Amino acid sequence: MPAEKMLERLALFTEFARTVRLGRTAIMKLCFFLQESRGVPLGYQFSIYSYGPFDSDVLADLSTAERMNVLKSNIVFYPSGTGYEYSLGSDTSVREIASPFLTENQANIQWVVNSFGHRTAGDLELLSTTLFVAKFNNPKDVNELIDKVALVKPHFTREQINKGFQDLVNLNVLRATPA
Amino acid sequence: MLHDPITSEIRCPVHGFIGLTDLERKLIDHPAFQRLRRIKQLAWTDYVYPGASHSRFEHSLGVMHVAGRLFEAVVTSSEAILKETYGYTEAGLSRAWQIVRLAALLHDIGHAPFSHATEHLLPMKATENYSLFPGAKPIEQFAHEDYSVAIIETFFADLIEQHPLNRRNAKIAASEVVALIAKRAPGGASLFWKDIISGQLDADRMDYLLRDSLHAGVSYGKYDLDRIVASVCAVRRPVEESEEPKIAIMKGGAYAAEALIVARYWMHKQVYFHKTRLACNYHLEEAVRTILLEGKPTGEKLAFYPRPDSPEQLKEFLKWDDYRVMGLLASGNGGEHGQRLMERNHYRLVCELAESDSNAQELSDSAKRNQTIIEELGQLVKHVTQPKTLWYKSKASDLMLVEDDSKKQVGFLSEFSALMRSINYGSLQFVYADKNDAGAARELYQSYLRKEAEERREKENPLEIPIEQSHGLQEKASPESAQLPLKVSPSNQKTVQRDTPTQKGIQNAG
Repeated sequence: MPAEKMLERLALFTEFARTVRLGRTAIMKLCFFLQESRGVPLGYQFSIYSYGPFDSDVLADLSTAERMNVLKSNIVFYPSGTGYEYSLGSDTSVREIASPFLTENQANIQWVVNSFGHRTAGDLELLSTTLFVAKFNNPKDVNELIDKVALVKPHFTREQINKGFQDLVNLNVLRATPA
Repeated sequence: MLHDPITSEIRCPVHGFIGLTDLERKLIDHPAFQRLRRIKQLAWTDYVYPGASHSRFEHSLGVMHVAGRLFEAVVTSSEAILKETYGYTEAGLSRAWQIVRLAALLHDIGHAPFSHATEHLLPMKATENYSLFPGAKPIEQFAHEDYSVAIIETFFADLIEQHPLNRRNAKIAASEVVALIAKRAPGGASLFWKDIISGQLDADRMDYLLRDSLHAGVSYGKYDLDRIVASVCAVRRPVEESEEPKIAIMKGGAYAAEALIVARYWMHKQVYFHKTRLACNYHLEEAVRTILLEGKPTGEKLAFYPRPDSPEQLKEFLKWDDYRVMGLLASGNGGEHGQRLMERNHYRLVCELAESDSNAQELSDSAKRNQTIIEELGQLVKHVTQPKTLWYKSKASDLMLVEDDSKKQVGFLSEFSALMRSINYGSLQFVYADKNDAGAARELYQSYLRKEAEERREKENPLEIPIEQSHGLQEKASPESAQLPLKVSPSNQKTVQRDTPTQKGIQNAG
């Protein structure tokens, strides 16, 4: 991993943390949307796993960010266990070092935070899986897309998947009719 | 757990007897699988560790065996969750067991000669438009998994689907096996079992660490496989995401999981990133490129293995194995780099340049400094490599730990393990020169270090340590520092922090 790319990823995390409190899985999904929908070259290679698109590098980078005090994690308690949210750490120098990246991608970062930063975990799981299937399984039409997402995520109804698809169309992430 | 009968066994140096069902045996007998006997697991690593000449064949058998064990362990510990979520019956579980084992058995069948060492010579994917996604597909390279999928779909589908037992009972489709290997999204329970094939704690790594360690004759890759197998389970994690189950590890197995992560770290340090192995990988790639370029117009620089998108091309691809490459190298077809391999006249390491990961500014500074050093070495540098396959991919920071009895989530392995948190994650650049130039290049590099130490001393504390002593300190500290994988504690860090170049990320190649 070139250092420059690592610094850009860390700077991106600070941009997320500056505007919204996110857990590690939400950050995973925002990175996925940013790279796969807006084409911001983060260098991640997402595969689909139980909770949707995933690349272990994102988690490794979050650990690095914590170790470098770029981010700090805060424990959040739920009735069924604990979770984590990230906020800005004490070392903000990475924002200056990677400022060309932040400037160049400011609009896209803002877009991903505004579009997905306040969604529920379930929403993010559905929307990111829908985008993944649309891109990598290459369904020929919307019905096939819904069928395939329903296979991957059987706990979502077809109506929920269709609504998620429409959300992504409205956000200009997907198009309603095949090319 | 009931499953198809084991009808034969193969002796494995790592796992003992590996049992095979009749279907598995039929797949193993296929020429495309037998080809894996002629693909070495670790490419040219036997130039460093002479015992490391084992093949993808035995590794694939081992992964199948471990995947089966993990499957059975998860079913034993978490049968209720699996039945409730996926509606499994006894027969359904037995069927899933076979699918997981087949995927594990065939996951590496698409490897090019010498495994990862020549995979940069796999061709580029065709560019086409997505149907519902606005935008063109970026140009990307095929991966060996793409070949595995194509080979299974083309040559193994009939064998799997028409097998008498399978046709009568389980009715497993080749697409269900492919679903566990392909990048594209599988359906339903496949998503859960995919973790066993390629997840944070998967059968692939569990086998290759033990196997590579055994054959290389080192102990770095050893860990307690039995304890891990006894500790895996399925849990739901409703807090952050969906109610889909995920594979977790019981707290009692946390140290074994930690040991596996550390084992992978050591194996990368000592075997996979060995300086001579990396040099040989480079020569091999260039030699095979030369071979593939034969017959192409002069000046052409790009050459690739046959594509995986037609049966004819796939058949051509399968004709490529280590034997064929070795024969061509022996005939002198590998050009300069092939000759270097035959004579063991590989490039020599000048230095390893580390990137500091203690804070963002140091990371940025160390990257710039490394670039400066490479520029100063100039024409003496023949090759620079920065391995992309980082060992920390297996960091398992999302590996969930649960209570042994209640299966209640207690956190993640990375939070539990101080050892994992303190491992140094910085990446390395390896700088090489020709054998005849290596001495001069190392001297130039040492001069750079001396100049840098002098400049820093003048800036910071000119009276503390004379330059000769400072250099002496560095020379002594360097090999030791190179072996330091862990930042033991903040207080210990202070004790080893000297104002020498090694602390800025340079390690002496010696």
